[in-house]
Amino acid sequence: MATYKAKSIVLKSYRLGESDKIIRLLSMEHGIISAVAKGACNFKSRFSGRLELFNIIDCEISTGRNLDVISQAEIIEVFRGISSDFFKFNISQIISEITLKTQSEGAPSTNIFRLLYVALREINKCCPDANITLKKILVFFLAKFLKIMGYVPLFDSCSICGRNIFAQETVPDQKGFMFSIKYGGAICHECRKNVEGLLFIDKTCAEILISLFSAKIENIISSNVTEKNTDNLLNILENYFIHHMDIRIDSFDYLKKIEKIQLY
Amino acid sequence: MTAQIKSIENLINEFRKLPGIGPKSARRIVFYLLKQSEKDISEFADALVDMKLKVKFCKNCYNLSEEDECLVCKDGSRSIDIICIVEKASDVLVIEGAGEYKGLYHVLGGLLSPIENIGPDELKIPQLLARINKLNTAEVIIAVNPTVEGDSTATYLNKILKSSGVKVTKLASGLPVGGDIEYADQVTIGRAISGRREM
Repeated sequence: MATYKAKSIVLKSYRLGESDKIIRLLSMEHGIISAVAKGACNFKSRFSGRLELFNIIDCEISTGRNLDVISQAEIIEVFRGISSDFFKFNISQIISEITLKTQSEGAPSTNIFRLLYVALREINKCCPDANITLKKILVFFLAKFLKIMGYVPLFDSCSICGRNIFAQETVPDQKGFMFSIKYGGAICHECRKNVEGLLFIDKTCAEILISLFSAKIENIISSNVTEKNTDNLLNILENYFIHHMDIRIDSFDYLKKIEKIQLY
Repeated sequence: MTAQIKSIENLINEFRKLPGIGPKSARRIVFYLLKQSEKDISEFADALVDMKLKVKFCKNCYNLSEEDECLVCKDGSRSIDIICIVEKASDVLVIEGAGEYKGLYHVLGGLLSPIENIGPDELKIPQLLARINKLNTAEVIIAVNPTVEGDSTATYLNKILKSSGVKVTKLASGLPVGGDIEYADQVTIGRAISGRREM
């Protein structure tokens, strides 16, 4: 049986039969890996805490007829802080669901792996109840994820006619600009008359949104973006992401449901 | 040939629906049952139907029971000051099997999970809070699996229960009895050290 090694992040695990688990991992070289960890539910299993969610592991995997089998796993890094706060867990689950639903098996995912690692590391570092910081990390993740996948919105020219927005519009000196999720960016004064579902992005949000795709995580976290603006940005990026990636992320709905009943 | 015998094929398909049973195992079970006496088969079928018709959830703790209240809730000798919160009814059997615990239980029916869309209302958390108020409970033991999902649920429960003034404890986690330190992972060792106790 052929074996291969993979540095991976544990994204999901399911129970399989009496005591086995199916583990879904994101690795740099092989993208998403679904593999069986035999006996992983037993207390004396050699895997025990090694295959817990969000652990960074180095594992050896044997290729099987149907599913691959994890034969060894060693922990590289553990994010213990994630389970210490339910909001942190929720944000990590959104990130994990996005990765699982967009990445494929067998295709290298080096950039997504690095992004996921940075996002989980920052979530882990956050103080408990630092909900705004956690939302900023999610905003950062969504923006960078869209950039890696090639879906960066168009800000400097109109998404319909291609005319230079800065030459005729008010960005970012005066009020803001109109943004279309469907057309994937800013819409000029002329084209906006024929487009439905436009969002007005005010000057403050516009400046943050434009810089977001090239900003570093430290700058996003330390920025003094208000909670209202963070929520606005999150809302725009979430809708943009769902429209263009054409997938449903259940954990986003969960976040809203939980916030409504004031779980945190 | 079995493909032509509809009753056998039906039963094989029914067994295949069970967790961990594939087509070969299902066929093996069916051929084993064919060799059994009519009396044994009818007892087996009666046991299945009987279980489905009689077993329901306890109205207090959501443990499995044949009556409105489960055997634990009906047992007057048990301490009502302490409630052990478990994820599923089968966990009650395991803890009862240890014979160390003499309090009440509360079965949540799952763990909080954003991916599975399971929130507090989908679990028996509101019922737990009402029960704690009603019984004036002194201590709650959170006995969920020591996984990320389990720990997150425990963190949430701790947050809402602490505000009601009840003492909240969690099962110890660390090295298993008979285990070997040499083969333990960093997480388990870390927990064993942070949860160490004076002898």
